[in-house]
Amino acid sequence: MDWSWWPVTTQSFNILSDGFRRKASGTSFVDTVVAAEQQIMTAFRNKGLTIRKEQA
Amino acid sequence: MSTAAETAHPAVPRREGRDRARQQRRAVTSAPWILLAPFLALFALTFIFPIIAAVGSSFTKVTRSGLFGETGVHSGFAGFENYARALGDGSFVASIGRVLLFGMVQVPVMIALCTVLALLLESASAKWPGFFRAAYFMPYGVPGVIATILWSFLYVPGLSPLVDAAGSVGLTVNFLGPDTVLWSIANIVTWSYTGYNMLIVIAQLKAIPSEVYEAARVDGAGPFRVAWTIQLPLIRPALVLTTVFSIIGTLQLFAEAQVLQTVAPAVNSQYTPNLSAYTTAFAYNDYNVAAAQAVLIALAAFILSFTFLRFTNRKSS
Repeated sequence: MDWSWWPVTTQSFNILSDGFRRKASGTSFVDTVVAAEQQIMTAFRNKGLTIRKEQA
Repeated sequence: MSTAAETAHPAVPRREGRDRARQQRRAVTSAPWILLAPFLALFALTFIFPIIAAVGSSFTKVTRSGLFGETGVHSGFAGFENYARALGDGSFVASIGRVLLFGMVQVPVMIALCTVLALLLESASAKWPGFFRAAYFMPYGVPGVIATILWSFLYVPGLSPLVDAAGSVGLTVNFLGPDTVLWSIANIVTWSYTGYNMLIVIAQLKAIPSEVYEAARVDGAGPFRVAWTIQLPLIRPALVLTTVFSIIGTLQLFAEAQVLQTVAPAVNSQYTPNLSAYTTAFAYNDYNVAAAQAVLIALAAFILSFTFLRFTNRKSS
């Protein structure tokens, strides 16, 4: 079975890390977290998984 | 009396002879293939097959069903979906733009530098050309990873004597900033490969017959005139070769960016196209999208080298 546990863990870390690295060129951490949420959801869907955003 | 037997008899050897000739002809046509078979098998297995496998993988889509993929893994034809995803990824497209900019600046600088060094070392007034040739070539023997670690000691604030020295005269330099880190990588690459390219140019310079130099000297040509009208036109093939190698090398940038990631916040996980393909394959397990990225990188290298060769050929004819 070639399936990794929590399929996008590494990708989520990379998305957050790449976003936080943009702090050097002026993007704020808060903006990064908001953008990362969307990107992680896209990554889930690209893997054929379902994901929905919880409403607070 | 025995006419029937006489006419029948010679027919048998004739048929045998025809069979033997056919056999011989078949042996002659198949012998080269038998002799070539070991080479062809290895060539197909190690050269053709990986390319076909990568291209095939870039057109494949793997679908897993069930919570953990336990109810079946199904692969099918994806069309250009993987290519669309690779090109739809802003970071990957940005990385291609980044290395194109890198190549447009770094390759001409390096080729000019290696040509000047080669001409200086091959000029009659050069002191200790053997020593300097070896010294300039030495960085090529340092692996890219080690070269990057070495240079990062000169880039990282707090470690770098260069940053300290600049600070003491009131200058603030940041070698690892978002706008400067690409040129810091260019510096490492230039340091590593100028000596190697210089050796290729020197080899071509050594192939110029001495009669040409003697004739130039008789005509009263000075060293600059000799360099400009004799040496530069005659080392053109070496310059074309080194430029094509450098263009391909630019698209293969990987180790420098990956190592600098740990010290430079501006280098992300998809800084160069190769780093992007690596991350997509081994961090995201998207092997098919990574294959599409790899095919796109190879296509870009092919198109750029081909365009450059066409451009230089047209200019020479």
